[in-house]
Amino acid sequence: MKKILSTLSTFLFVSSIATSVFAAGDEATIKKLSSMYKSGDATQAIVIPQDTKFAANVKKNILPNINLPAGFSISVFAVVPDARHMAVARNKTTVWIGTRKDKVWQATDRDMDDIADTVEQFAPTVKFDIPNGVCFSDDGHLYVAERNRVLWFPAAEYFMESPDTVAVPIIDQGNLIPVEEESYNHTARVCAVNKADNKLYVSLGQPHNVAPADKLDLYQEVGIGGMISFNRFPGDLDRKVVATGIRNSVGHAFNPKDGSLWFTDNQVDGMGDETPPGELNRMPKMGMWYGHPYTGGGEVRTNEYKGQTIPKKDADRYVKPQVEMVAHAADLGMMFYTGKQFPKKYHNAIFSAQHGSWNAVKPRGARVMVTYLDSKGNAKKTEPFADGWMTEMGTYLGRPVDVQQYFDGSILVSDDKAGVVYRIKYEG
Amino acid sequence: MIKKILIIISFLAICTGVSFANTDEKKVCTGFGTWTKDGEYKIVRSKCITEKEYQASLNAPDYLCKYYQKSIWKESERPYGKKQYQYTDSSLTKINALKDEGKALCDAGKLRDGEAKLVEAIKIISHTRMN
Repeated sequence: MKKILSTLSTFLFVSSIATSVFAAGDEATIKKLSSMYKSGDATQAIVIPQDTKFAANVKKNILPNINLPAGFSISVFAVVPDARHMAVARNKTTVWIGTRKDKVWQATDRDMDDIADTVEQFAPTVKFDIPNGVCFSDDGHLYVAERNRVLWFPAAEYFMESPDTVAVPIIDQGNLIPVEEESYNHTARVCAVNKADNKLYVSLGQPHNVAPADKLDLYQEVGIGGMISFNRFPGDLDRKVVATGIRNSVGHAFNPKDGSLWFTDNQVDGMGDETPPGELNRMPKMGMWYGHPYTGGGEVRTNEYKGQTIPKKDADRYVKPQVEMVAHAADLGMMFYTGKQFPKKYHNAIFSAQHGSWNAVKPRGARVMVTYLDSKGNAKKTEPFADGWMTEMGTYLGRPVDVQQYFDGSILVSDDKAGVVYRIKYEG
Repeated sequence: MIKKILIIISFLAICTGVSFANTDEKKVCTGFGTWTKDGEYKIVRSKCITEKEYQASLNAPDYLCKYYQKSIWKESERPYGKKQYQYTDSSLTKINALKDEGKALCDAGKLRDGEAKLVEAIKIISHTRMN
């Protein structure tokens, strides 16, 4: 806490001599919050009732359909509208949940029965814009990556109970990507902290089905259709593009064993029901290139760039996917399992969510996958871990978005269709 | 001994046949569902084909002709799909003309030529900025 306040004091000094551009619509609020003043905004947090008929119906209509390996069970952790990516607190049983709308939710289990007792709006005086990406650092900081801004919420575990939460822009509104490149589609950001360099890594989807040639230089320079890293405290941003050639990644995580960065990628539409494959990628080192727009998924060439020679500067840095997933399954959030609750075969395995897509005759996705790694840290085998969110008639009961590990080693799965967060535990 | 082996082989062949038959009969369905006011989940509409029919459709010579036309419709004509892109009137006119040309070629049995025209339309869609 002392360290956090010290860092914050340093920032306040720096910010007093610097000028910043703040979010359209909440500039004044952010300026006050970042200086630890009250916003003066009377907005109160919306509270989501938990003990409702809706919750009972989810338990009755969805949970019995979910298939899990023997010894596992699933329950509802929280009712959370539009639940997308999640960040689990360090010292409290709180989970922050982003959305593709304008709210971040916080779900807290206060009586330690593994069910959230309070689900309420986080930082209601901040006007969020697609705050999909939430991540929590080991040293107690919450970050929210929006469509075109990144906010730092120092000591969020402590300040979270107030509508006015200290909020400091790390990347000001309009500076994450050029404003003219803003879109609604492909702007669900995700973030993660790299323990090796203590920086924040944020993915930046590109706003087309296939990026046009006249945009490629700009995108490579800014990191659109790629991933960037930057300092997670105010001051020198030291922004770097760490990966390019990615179409729209909405899930990444660092392997705690070897520090390598893994990410999912959603692939090109309009090529066929069963092509091109979705991807799970590994970044062997920073600065690599992953194929887009020349490849649509896996090593399948896009119609738009078929027959064109891949520039040498890209081809020399090309990394093919570790896993080719079923086409159009929409692979999104992912995590490495570091807990001890699950059987040994799952230790350090990757859990990833397939959101599912209507962009194919045969419905697919709506499940949680598990990928096991070999001794060299490469993907060995991928298989479904939890499914059943889709009926035999091809109807989605739910659509998993993200998977994160809860404090006790169980895992949480968010679902933006049903609007809930599930908890999967192992009891043997 | 040979007789026993033949019986085992015959048995396995029959089982395999049944297994394939079951796979072929497995349904591939698409549907829509909704929550009723009473909190029940109700399937409103659904369309099913067998896995065998689905595989046959994927391998049909005119698969891409049909797939590309449907894809163009979904992304540039269907209201929800159209809203996702920053089309101009001229780009939509061009997409529509290419789709018509492609369809005519496909209908005339000139499948590769038809696909090429349809891909030209898809390229315009692919490179159009999303909203």
